[in-house]
Amino acid sequence: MKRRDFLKFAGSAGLYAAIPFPLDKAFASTYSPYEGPIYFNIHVSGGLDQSSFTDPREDPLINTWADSKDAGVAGNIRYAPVPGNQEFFEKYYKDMLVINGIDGETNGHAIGTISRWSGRLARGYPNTCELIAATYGQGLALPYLSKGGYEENVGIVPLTRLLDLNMMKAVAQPNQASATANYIKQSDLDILQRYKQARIDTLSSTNTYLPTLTRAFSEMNTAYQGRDSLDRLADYIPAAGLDTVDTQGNTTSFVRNIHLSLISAQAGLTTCINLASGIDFDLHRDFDAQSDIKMPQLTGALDYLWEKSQELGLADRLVVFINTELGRTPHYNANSGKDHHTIGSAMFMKRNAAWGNRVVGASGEQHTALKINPQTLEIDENGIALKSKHLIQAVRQLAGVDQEPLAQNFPLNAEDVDFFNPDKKTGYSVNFRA
Amino acid sequence: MLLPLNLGSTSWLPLLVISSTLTLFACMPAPSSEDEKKDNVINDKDCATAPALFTETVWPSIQESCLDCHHSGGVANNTRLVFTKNSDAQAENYNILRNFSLSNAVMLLNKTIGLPVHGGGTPYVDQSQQEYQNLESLVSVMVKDCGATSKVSFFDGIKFYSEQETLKKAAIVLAGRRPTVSELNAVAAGGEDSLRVTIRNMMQGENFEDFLLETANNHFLSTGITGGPSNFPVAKDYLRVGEIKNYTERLIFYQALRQEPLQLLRYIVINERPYSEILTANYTVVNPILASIYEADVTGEFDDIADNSEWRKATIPNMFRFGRTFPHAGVLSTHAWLHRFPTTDSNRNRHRSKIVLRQFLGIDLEVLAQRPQVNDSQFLVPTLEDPECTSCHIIMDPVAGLFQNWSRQNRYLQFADNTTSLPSSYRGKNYPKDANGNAYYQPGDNWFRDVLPPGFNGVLAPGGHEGDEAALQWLGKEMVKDSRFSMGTVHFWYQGLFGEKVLTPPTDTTTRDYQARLNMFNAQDELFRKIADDFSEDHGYGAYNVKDLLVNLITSKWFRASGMTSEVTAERAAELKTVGSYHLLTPEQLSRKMEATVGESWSKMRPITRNYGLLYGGFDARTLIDRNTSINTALNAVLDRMSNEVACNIVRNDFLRPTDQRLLFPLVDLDHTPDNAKGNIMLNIQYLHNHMLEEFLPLESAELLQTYNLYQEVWNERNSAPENTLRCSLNNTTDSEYSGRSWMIVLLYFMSDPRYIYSY
Repeated sequence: MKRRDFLKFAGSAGLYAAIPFPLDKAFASTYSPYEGPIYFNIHVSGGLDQSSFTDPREDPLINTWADSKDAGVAGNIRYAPVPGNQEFFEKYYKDMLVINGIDGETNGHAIGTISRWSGRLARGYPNTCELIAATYGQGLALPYLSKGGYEENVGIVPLTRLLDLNMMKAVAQPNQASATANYIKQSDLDILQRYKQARIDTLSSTNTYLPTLTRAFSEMNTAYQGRDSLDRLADYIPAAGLDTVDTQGNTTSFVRNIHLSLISAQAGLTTCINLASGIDFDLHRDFDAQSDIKMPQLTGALDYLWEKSQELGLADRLVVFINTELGRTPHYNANSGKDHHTIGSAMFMKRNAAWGNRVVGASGEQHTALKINPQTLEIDENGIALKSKHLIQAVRQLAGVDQEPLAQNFPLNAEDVDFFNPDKKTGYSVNFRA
Repeated sequence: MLLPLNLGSTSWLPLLVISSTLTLFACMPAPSSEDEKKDNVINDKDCATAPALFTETVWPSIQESCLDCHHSGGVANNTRLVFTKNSDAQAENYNILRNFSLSNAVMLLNKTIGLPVHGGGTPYVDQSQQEYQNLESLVSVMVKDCGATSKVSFFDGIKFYSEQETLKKAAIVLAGRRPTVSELNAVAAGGEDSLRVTIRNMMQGENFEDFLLETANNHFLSTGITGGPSNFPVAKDYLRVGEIKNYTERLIFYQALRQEPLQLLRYIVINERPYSEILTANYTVVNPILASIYEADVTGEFDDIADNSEWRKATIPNMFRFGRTFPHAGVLSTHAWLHRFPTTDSNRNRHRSKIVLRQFLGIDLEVLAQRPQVNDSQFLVPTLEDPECTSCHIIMDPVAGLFQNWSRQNRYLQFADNTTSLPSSYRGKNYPKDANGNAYYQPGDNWFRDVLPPGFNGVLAPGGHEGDEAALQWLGKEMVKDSRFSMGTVHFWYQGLFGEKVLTPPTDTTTRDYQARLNMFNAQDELFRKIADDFSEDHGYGAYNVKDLLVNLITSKWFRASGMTSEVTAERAAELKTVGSYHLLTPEQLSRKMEATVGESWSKMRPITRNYGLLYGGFDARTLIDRNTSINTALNAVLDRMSNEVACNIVRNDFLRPTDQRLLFPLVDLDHTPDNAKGNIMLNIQYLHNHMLEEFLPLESAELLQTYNLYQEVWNERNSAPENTLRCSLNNTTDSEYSGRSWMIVLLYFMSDPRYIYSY
């Protein structure tokens, strides 16, 4: 039975909980670099204001910029005229699918993160990176990389935390003491590895272990399978170190983490990266002043992601999903900040996507949820309110994992929404001045 | 039209006055899943009639306490327990109750006493009440009546560790070592009672205290607090902060602050104080630098005031701005706890409320219900008036109100001449007015009037909106009286021992493994509930004794589960998914185990907040707050790196010791080879399987032979040239027979084994 078929069987029998990826040792992988789509899940930390991004309102009580400026427009997409947005949207609107009016059903950061990234309020559902890594990442050393955001792991594929550069070098070559010295004779270690694998095989052959231990053996087996490919990483680590400055001149750790992620993807070791922006948008005080600094950091980093991936020959493979845990209120608080709001926005990006330059979902004048017809995508008071489950269903569809047995063990029970039909859109429910 | 809140009336009081029967309490709206199925399935095993216990005792109680919400069309209509109000429907209602309890008996009983949370409050108050006990009796009848098959015990088919095996596991976790021979012999002779005593006796020393500090930090996350000087205690509160001379001194001070809540917990446990003091202690603990800056009144004297690793009990007798004693409230009033779980002017301590309920009562507020669309609310202050909001806020906001004295800068009553912590934005004239056009803030207030008044469990706190300088202390005292405090404590310590968080009840009935998850949760919950009940009793060391709790957790079936008696189905495996105590050792635990078993640890694994320690452990208490529980390629590579770096010196150092002092090679020497001492080598391999992996294997076993084959194969290749220069003190001069280097590979084999890196 091929591993993929085994996973389907395991998934259909509801076995995933006890028999995680991958168990069938007969298919210990022969490594080949991953060359499929690279999925980037970008978590914009703190709750990105939808009105400052893809769902602007020309109402000064909601956005002070509306006193003097109109919302920007790039193709079918409207954007807030705040620093960095014009350049970003005019450059990439054709590659964007904007989702507005998403109801995350909570006002809390922690549950909002769970809701917006797993599709439901309760814990226990995977980040789609875990499903993607399970489906496409067999035998890879780092199939699921993560730093921040939603990192709940349900036991299918362990995530690997994003390393710093020196760590990457060190783990890529664990026997290297220096450029000219090893710790141990490599041929002895090669002998050792065979015996370690045999030991795991022996331990795994016992069928009366508790599931916790069975899972441990399986994880170790998977870890062994990926170790040979980890060496490849060394070939892609740049001598000059990592970039830290984006295309607009902003210095952020987000840029560094993007670069590091791309290195792993370039080495063919990774299918999905889950990355938090590290730029905190939880702006309860002095919203405008802080947002004017942070929005260009975000868009600058996203621009960097595309530019760098182009440089590395990866841009055509990227599928980027930008999400956040909360929206922000359609008014300022007493400290000139904006507080939490359940309705927010998200975005998909893919170069030359047929489904680009579109907006699905909408919110009302005061960023209330509006219902849409899931098939026509038009605003329809008899339709459905877009929720996190619809969003995550879309992510799964785009990644081609929605029909996999593993994904179906985590049913979202979401109505089918024709998100990616290029001929349909929602647009905006409000009028704009220009 | 907006419905005004008339502050002149006390119309909001009924929301707080929670009677024991809770008939006035607004029931919680529907759970999150719109597709949640009811359990009111009528099947052919239903009973034609209901037993007298139901008709005469339980049902009248349900009618009085539950039926107002739990009926078709009632507020609890979308829950899984919905009765009919038809007066002729006793049998029907009995079957509804019975069918629900067949799979949800524990939940049924828990909900009647508000556990973990219940929108209908605590109708049966606690387990000592007659109504609760009647229902409990009925549950045991319902599972057997009318042809219902008796339930298989959850633990059927599971093997358990013996007393000695349990002791070994406990020793690694609690003491970072193997048990001594005398400890093993005592347990062998004395059985279970001796096991309990021996485990208890292990709870001392530096390694045990490290276990306490690590467990505390998993929850308090205090080592992760960051920020500039304005985020830490200031000279306006502690004069001596102004005397800090330089950056180094400041760092030492901040480090002490980070440790304070952890050390307080350590103090309570080590001194076998009642754990309730974690919330009620009218003292704190300080090291020399904290004692100095706090100008604390320290119990006893420090052995060395230059040694900041010594901590002693203390109080702050004189708050600078107030001239009176600091209102200590256990960990809650420590700077680090407040700093780590901050508030903002708009958050109004709700985050702290959520955290304190989770850490000490095991309540997860955020799973109560999805947040409704309040933009359409008819109410001026939805969190105060709209039933869709108050179902959560009525629990959260009164508790938030008890943090009233602590501002967002974590300072005590810092505004308006030291009278309030209310932000100026609320007290100012631009703040929105109430329905009558009046300002919410009234001079003398210390809590927001557009928020429910401070209180807990339906009891209003002293002072109301005017506040009370001891509000947080009041909260601590009330919380420890709550029956959920014991269970919350079980949850707290579970993670430290088991390496995982406690199970939460599954809510989505549509998932394939829902029943398995429910069975697993119910089994664990039932087990832990017994431990929680025991915790509140005095067994010779005082009630709320954490050491007793740890003994009970370690000797529980959940911890001691070791395997299955036979192969199980996939469904059964799903049910047993988290049973047992195998977990990936944390970097700290692995380091202690290495020191105990191989003589040294890897210095690069510490601190755990950087580099390899962070990569392997995945925990820095700042942005990474959930430890790694799974091994993957990168972590395995870290283990490889660690082993490769340390193995050579470990082996060499062990061989340099006298034979009777060796940890690893007491039965061989460096001149023993397969050609001249195969027997010795085999014996030492047998010893290592026992010493390193707790595997007791006969000499002829396949696994022992496999290990010997590894040794021999490496030794056979001894003359092959290395690919690179080697950085190892074992070489052709110091290890002429290549036996040391062969043993080094065997050591690597053991150090990478699952039985070594997991808590076996």
